[in-house]
Parts: sequence; C-alpha cells; structure tokens
Amino acid sequence: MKYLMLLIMLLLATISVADSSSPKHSVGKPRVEAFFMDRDIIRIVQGQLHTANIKIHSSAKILDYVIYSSNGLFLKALDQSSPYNATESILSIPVQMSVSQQGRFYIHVELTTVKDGIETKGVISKVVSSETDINERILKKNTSSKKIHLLPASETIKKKIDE
Amino acid sequence: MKAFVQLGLALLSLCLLAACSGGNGSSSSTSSASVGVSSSSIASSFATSSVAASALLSGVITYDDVPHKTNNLGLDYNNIQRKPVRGLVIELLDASGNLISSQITNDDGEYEFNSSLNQQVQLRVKAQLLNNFGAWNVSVRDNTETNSLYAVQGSLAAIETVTEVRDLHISSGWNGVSYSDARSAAPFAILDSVYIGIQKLRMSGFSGTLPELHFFWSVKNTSAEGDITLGEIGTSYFSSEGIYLLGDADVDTDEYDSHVILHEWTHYLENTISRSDSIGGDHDSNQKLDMRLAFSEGLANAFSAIILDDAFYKDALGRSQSSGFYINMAEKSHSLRGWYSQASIGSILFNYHLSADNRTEKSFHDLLATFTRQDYKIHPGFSSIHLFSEKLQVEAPASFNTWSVLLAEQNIFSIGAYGEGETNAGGYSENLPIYKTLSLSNPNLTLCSSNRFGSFNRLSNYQFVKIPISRLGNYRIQVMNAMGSSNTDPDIYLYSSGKLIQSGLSSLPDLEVMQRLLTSDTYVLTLAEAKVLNDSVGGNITHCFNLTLSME
Repeated sequence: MKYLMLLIMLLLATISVADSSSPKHSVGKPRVEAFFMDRDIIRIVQGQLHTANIKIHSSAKILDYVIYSSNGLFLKALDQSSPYNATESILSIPVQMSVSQQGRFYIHVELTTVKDGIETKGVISKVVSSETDINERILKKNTSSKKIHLLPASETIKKKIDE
Repeated sequence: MKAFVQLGLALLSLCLLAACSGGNGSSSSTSSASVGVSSSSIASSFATSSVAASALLSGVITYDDVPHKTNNLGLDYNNIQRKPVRGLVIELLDASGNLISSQITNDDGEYEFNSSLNQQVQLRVKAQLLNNFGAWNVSVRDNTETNSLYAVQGSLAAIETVTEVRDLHISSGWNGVSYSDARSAAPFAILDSVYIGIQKLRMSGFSGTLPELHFFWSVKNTSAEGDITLGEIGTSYFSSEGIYLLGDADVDTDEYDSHVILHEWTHYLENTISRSDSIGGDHDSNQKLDMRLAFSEGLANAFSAIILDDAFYKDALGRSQSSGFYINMAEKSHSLRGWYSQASIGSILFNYHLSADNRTEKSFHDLLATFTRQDYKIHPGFSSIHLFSEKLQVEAPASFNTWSVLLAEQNIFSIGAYGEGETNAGGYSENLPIYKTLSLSNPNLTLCSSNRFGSFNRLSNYQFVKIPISRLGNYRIQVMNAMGSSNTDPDIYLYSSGKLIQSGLSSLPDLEVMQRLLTSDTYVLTLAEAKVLNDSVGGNITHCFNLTLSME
C-alpha cells in the first residue's frame, strides 16, 4: 500500500496538463478538468480502483461541490466542516473511482458558486481522460461535409387567387 | 406521415374553397415540414397543366429567439420572440430535390422566387449566412453528424396560383417546461448574432472580406472534454477549425447567448482581419494574466457588448437555462486593474465606445479602424493594450484624451507599443520594464520567470525582450541560469511581427541556445522557465536567467 501511495505521489508530481497548451480561446465559464493519475503508464482497466485528479476552475467563489461517477455513484463532496475559502479559483480534488463500465468514463460535478452576491448552481460533466483518449482526439481531425442535417419547421401556404 | 396527411387535407380544402367561393380572396394552410417528407403524389394531383406560365413565390422565414431575463440571469422563455431569418441562403428545389434557384433572405426575412405555375417545388433554408459578393460565408454545422450543415425544409407542393406565399417558421422546441421538440431555431439564432456583428462592422466602415467560418453546434455538445465527434467539446471556444458552441440543455447551451457567440466571433476576427498573439487557456477577471491573453479576452468581451449595444455580457446556464452570470462591461472599479487584467481592457474599450467625444453610442469606427490597421497587424511588439493605444492615438487623435483618462483609471500609464514608461509592475518588480531591450550595444540582461500569479498563461510566466537588429548577420542568443546550476529548464521563443520564427525548447539543464540569421529589423523574444508553465507543478517557482546576444 505504501508503494502504491508513493507511486501515486510520484505520478502527481509528473502529471502533465494536456489541454492547457491548447490554442483554444474560450469564454470564462466555470470548467472542470479530470485525468486518471495513471494515464501515462497503463490503460484504464475495468474493475480496478483508479485515482483521478479533478480540477474545478471558476472565477466565482466555490461554495459547494458534489462529484458523482457516470453511474450515479457518489465520489466526493466539499467538506463543509472545513469549507473552501481560498481566493484561488482552481480547486484540485483527487478522487478514487472504480471503473466498472466500458467505453468512456464520465464524472459529474454539481457546482455551487457565488459572485457579487449571486449564487449559481450547475452541473458540469467531464470525461476522465486517459492518454489513449488524448491521442485519439489528436488523430480525429475535423473534416468538412456537404451533408445536410434537416430540422423540422412549420410551413404556412397561402394560395392567392389568380387575378 | 402526420405532416403528409395534414398537407394533403390542407391542399384538398384549398381546392374545394377555391372552386366554391368564386375566388375573391386567399386561403392558407399549415403543415409541419419535417425530415424526409415526400408529398409528390399529392402535389402531382394538382399538376393539371403542362403550360409553364410564370408564378411568383414569396414569403417570410422566421425563427424563435429566446431573450435573456431582464435581471440578466438566465433565459426568459415567457417572452420568446418571432424574428426574421436574415441574410441566409434559401433554395427552391424541384420534386427530385434539384436546385432550381437560390437567393438570400432580406433584412425582414423575406424571399421572392420567380417560378412556374403548377411546378412542384419545395423551399430549403440553410443555416448559412452568405454574401452574394463573397464578403462573408458563415455556416452552422453539426460536429456530431459528420459536420453536416443544418437546414429546414418546406413541403413539396405545386404552385397553383400566379402569386403564392409560403412562410416557414423555425421553432425553439420549448414546450413551456423543457425542450420537448427538435431545437430547430438554434442554428438560426446563432447566425442572427453573427448577422448583427457583420452589420456592425459594415456600418463602422469595414469593407473587407471575411474568410469562411464554420460554427459547430449540437444538442450533444457538452462541457465534457474528449471526442468532439461525440459532442465532448469542453466549452464554447474558437480554434482554427471554427467556433464550437455548447448545446447541452439544462447544463449549458449557448445558442441564445449572443455575447458568448460574439466573444468567440471576435477571436475569429482577431485571427483573420486583425491579429492575436494570445496564448489561450483558462482566464478570468480575478487573475493577473499574460498581457497577450488579457488583451484578447478583454477585447472579445468589449466587442461583443459594443456590437449588441448591451453593456451586460451574459451567459445563461443551469437547469432550464434559468441561471447564469453577467459582467457589466461599463464597470470601472475592478479590484484588479492593469495591463494584465482582462477586466481593465474590456472596461477601457467599452467605456471609450460609450463616452468618447463627438460620436454616438453606436459608433465603433475608431476601435475597428485601429484593430484593422496594417501597422497594428505587423508591428514587432505583441498585441496588447499598449500597442493598441499607440495605434489608436494615430487613428483618432482628437479623442485620445478620453482614452488616456480611461487608461489611467485602470492603472495603465503607458501609451507606447512596448509599454515604455509603464509604472504598474503588477506586484512584481521584475515585470518592468515590460520589454527589456537586448542589442549588440546592450548584450546582457537578467530576466526572471515566475509562477507567483499562477501557471501557463499568467503574468510573470513569460518575460518579454525587444531585440533591435541593425545589421544582417548570424546571431547567437544564449540563456543561462543566473544562479549557476539548479536544474532549471529555460525556453525561448523568437518572433517577427507576431509570428513565431524559432523556438529554443531543448531539455538541456539551465541552458538554451539559439542561432539564426537575422535581417535588419526589430524582433521580440519571450523567455519562460518550463516549470512555471505547468500548473500541475506545485510550489512557488521563480528562476532568473542571464540572456546574452552576440554576432557570430
């Protein structure tokens, strides 16, 4: 167990922030990052306990958070006995999750923030990324299409009588 | 099938009415025209003549727009407004789906086709904002369905009278409680925000061409980040591919958040008709940011508010889109003020627009003209409030006093492109001067890179160096740890007119060397310790380096 903890600590120290180098220009919404701690060395294995690092970014003060896995399993909540009072808007939360489902691994963060006296609640969903995900995303380049995505509309036809 | 039957009944009743009334008026029918509707068999029953007499088909295309609540917190579904679909491509198709003719709806959402009596035709409106002369071409596509272009279609029916009216309405899909039907209006709402933006540019004197732009929106676009073909876009953002927008109802969806749309559109403008040196990444008003990011984000917020003539930048989110946040762009009393604050930049730009002398509130000319000046776009210094100030002074000298006052209110004290004479160090003296000058006559500098204000894109992560070169030659730029060996990793980037021309990113400890043939010009170099760019590296890190320039 000690060695496992040591390994996790080492991984914590070496983990890179994959998306922070992205040239995206986004609006300043609250957002969440989530990575499996062991994404650099192994593939995520179903049924095993994995540690994910979840970061909540918010320009507003974080009053509360509750984190669930995609199958509704409670993972973590803010300890209200020692509420988060830091002025720093990024909160980093390690959680352990047993990966039981195939495919992609979602977490849901119910987030309550306050800014200028206005309280805002919302849910942010996040894929917990592994290195495999990131590589696949890089390979999947967006391509243009000539296809049409038809949406419904209502039509009114007025037949004017010929003069 | 329901639509099919409705249309049939409607046309049948029309036939009866026309036959019995003697014909001194008009009648109408409505149908829900959905994907795959085929009514050729119905329409063919009316095709009684093969004579190709001309007919005029006209109408109005409208969509549901959902405004924000008056308190700026969330969408107001009780006041959905029917608005015209303006400037979009409308096509007239024949029974086989072939294009007969196409045009662009006018400012009132109207169209008018010359067609043939008894011909079976169908209308299609594409989510494509197009200019006939190629000045703009903006579309909304579904990134979760092979980037297909959104469109709506009317029913296939014969034109029976010399003048016929067919109106299409594109609804929001809101049933009073939730989205129960297809959210057809969303792509059209997005494009109407851009339409307003383009009109604003034109009215403000811009007559150039805007490169093609794709928006990517889907009801599946969520704040999850992963595979964009699954809708995992993370957040609304601009990248070289286009603008991705959230569409996740009850969490965060942006099709009616015009400020958000125009914020991202401004980033597109920066990258096409102006310049942007922003390094991207997370940002907000409470952070001391890299000046390039601060300027870009403050500018995008301000331009969205100016274009909409609405000081309250707002973003709806949450269950039923009933909550959200807003920023008052006219606010001046920010807790953090300076050239590194996006709030300050936004405030200066927006308040200049509001308060400058001898112009109406809607005037946008000075800012836009400065934004698109050639000497702004190719200046060696990075895009920043300082460079913008220098060029605005040239563009609008009569109004520059107003600008200077606004700068001073935000603790910005320089109007030189390189921030010459700036006295606001942002709480770290090594940030001044903003650009240190390295030259053959001043070949040694000491610079410090720090994460004291955060990592990756914050103030003090990068240090900026101006390098005037007066003689063509091979030059060597060397960076060494100022304290000897302490396992640092300095990285350097060399720019010419904002374009990266060479990087020094080796993993050599405590050392970086760059050699390059340089012509007579002014270059800019940035230097950062690699660890301060990585926000997973904890602790306070400040490393200082000796930078030298020599000619070989």
